[in-house]
Amino acid sequence: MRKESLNFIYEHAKINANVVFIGSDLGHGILQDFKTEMPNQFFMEGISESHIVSMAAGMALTGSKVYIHTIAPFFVRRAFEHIALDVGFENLDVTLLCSGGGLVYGPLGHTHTMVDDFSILSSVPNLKIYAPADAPEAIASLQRTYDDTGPAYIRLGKGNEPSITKQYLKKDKSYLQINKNENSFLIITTGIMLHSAIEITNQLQNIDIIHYSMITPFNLDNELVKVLKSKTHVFILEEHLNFGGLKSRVNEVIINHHLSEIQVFSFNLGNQYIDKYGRQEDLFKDLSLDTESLIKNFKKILSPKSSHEF
Amino acid sequence: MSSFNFQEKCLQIRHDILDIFWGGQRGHIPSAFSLVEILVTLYYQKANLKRDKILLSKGHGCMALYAILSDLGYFPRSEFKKFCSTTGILGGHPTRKKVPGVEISSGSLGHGPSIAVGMAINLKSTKGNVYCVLGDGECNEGSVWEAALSANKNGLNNLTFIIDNNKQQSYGATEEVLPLEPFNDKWSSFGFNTKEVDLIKNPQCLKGALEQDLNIPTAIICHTRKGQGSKVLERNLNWHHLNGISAETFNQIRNSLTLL
Repeated sequence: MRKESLNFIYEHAKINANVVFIGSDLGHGILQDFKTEMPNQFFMEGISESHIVSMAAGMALTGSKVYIHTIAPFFVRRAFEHIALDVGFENLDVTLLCSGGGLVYGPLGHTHTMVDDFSILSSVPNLKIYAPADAPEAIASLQRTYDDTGPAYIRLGKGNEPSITKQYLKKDKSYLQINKNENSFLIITTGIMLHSAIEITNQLQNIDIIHYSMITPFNLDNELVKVLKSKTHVFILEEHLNFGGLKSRVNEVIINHHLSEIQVFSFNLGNQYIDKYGRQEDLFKDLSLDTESLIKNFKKILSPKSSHEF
Repeated sequence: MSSFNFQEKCLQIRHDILDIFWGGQRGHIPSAFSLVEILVTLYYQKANLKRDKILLSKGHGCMALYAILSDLGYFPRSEFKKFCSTTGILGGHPTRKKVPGVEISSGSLGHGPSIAVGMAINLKSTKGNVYCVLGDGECNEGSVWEAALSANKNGLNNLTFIIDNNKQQSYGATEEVLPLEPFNDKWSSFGFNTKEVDLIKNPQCLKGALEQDLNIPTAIICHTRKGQGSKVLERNLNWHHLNGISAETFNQIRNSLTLL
């Protein structure tokens, strides 16, 4: 979805001279056509994420619609104060398009994996947080940022995911509802975990799915509250630490709407940075977040004798 | 501007800074005082306020900025009495969306230079200049030097970093806390047309240094004194964080103000 996302920015820069792209020492030759055709809208700065975020703020303050791009943790962790103060608080038209969300860079270790971005960024004023599942949803998220004038963060997943969201996308909704069989069981996902959710429901056919591509603000309309009220079991899947992400938002909803009778089970990356090397799929297995383990655990929970806690 | 009296204006601004301080019973007077000649030069003598941008990156000197913006009619003096209160627009560090005339919110140091780079890139086509005022202590921040690298790379001849080199930071002398010398060489080596002006001996000389004579970004190191303009405050570190003073002490400071 990175390739499609960058192409979206390139195509929109062609039709809107205010669109500016800033990268932080990205891979050689990236967006070469953009650089050649629109050199005044293309900036490849050095390894200086804090600077780039505030430079983007300066450009937005003087009329630009800015898209900045690098690997997620280097914006989210290193440049946090610049995001919070110069972009978020000022409510500026800057979108942080970040690759490597979750465990994409698992082989490179904890400095490169982005396991706490929802949590860290959720306090930033005005910032919308997107975690699309595939390229069509990434493009839909980018379209929202293009139509909007405020700050946004887009977490891009591993790339090359099969396109699954296209048939469900609705322009006026930042979530997808899949199955809608009015079952008692519901999976709530964000980011690439939608792929696992669909695989699970292919095997365990009595489960509905709600997928959030925008988790901040967490848009829970009346329709969804109604859906939640009809559920006995809710399973939350997210490629994020146990706190501050989708689970926290869903729990908040459950408390605010007095839905405490729903049993909630959360499957995520646990409580700590991942102190292991490995490919994303191998780390998922290690953390029992692969589809096979998830199905096994779902079955245990849904069996009549279940007493498992997650 | 023919009748403009630089010295009188600076003295007036210092009096206004004291009024703001008295309104909130707090504020960094010495940090504001060392800025006065710099900001008076920019706002009254040099910048085209419709075209150029003046960014105060050392937000803790904001009382000098507030005094000038009010004098220029951006907001009424009645705000001075509400300094740092819930009913006012003026705070201990400036907020862009609250205070008319303030270009950027500041307070956390080291942000202004990067914002200035972004603005200078965009204003180049309209021949707009960006003046970013920073403290010498602020240059401890790594982001200042990231911005300096970028200003050089982007060939920003419309960007000027003006450093209020009052040689003091919160804990002590800048040269003891974290030495910056050779400061001029540092800026030069980052690709800046670097100049030094002595605003203690010659308070009006910044204007001449602001002429952009090379096709590269400019850094102007302004030699100042913390608390400049008041013999009571000058170079007395205790004043940096001193709040809630008596009327008698306040009057002592008021009476110590002099033309420079």
